[in-house]
Amino acid sequence: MTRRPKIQRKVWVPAEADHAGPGHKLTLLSTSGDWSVKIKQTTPGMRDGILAVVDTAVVDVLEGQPLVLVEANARDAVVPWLDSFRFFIPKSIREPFLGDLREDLAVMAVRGRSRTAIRWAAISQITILVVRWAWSNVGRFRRAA
Amino acid sequence: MAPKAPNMSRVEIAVLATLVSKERYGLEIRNTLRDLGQTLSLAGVYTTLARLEKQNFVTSRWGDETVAARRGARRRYYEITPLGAKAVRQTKAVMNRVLRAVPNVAHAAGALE
Repeated sequence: MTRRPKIQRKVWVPAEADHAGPGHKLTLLSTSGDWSVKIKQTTPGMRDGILAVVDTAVVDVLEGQPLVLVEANARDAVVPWLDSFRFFIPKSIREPFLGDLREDLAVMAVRGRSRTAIRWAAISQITILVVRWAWSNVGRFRRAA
Repeated sequence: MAPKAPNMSRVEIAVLATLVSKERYGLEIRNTLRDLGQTLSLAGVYTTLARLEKQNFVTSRWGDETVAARRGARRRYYEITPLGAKAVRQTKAVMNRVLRAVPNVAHAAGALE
């Protein structure tokens, strides 16, 4: 298990957390894995979220990494209906594509994009995938014929 | 006669080029390309990767890290094969030759005016 360094400084992080408050848990996501931390203090800041002070040691571990975002456990999924579209996605890329899409939408949410923008991003990505996949298969059938 | 470049689209070459330095997963490829000025949708990345994998230019494996935002979906890491690396090298060589010829073309066009 990785040891967390002890750092005293407080770090404020933007959080997509409508209902989270002091004592609630946050999950910090990064390319090196996830860290679960507790919110120490919150303040109204972003339109769709809050600013939270979290366990500073954990945040420092993640500083400087390319993908660092924060998500509250209070809000389970950015687009909960995404699974309804899974049968339109080719099986071979279903799991990684949907996972990447969820990760991307979570980043959008943390950056303060509106729910409408996030929904449209999800719908457009799935539509583009289905159209492109169908088009590439039409080409394959044409070559076979 | 100079060797020809493989018959690949600009997007295919761009996706392949991001994998030369290290293996990456779909979203990472999209973000890398976006940072370099080549915009591409996530859907575009995945259809391209599927095509490249079918042509044996890349191979893939499942990642084992857990990311909460993915809700259990694993990452799929793509790695360039020697065949893919050769395709990138050939395309780069051809593009270098073409671009080196551009000043001469411009000069010739100026001379005609």
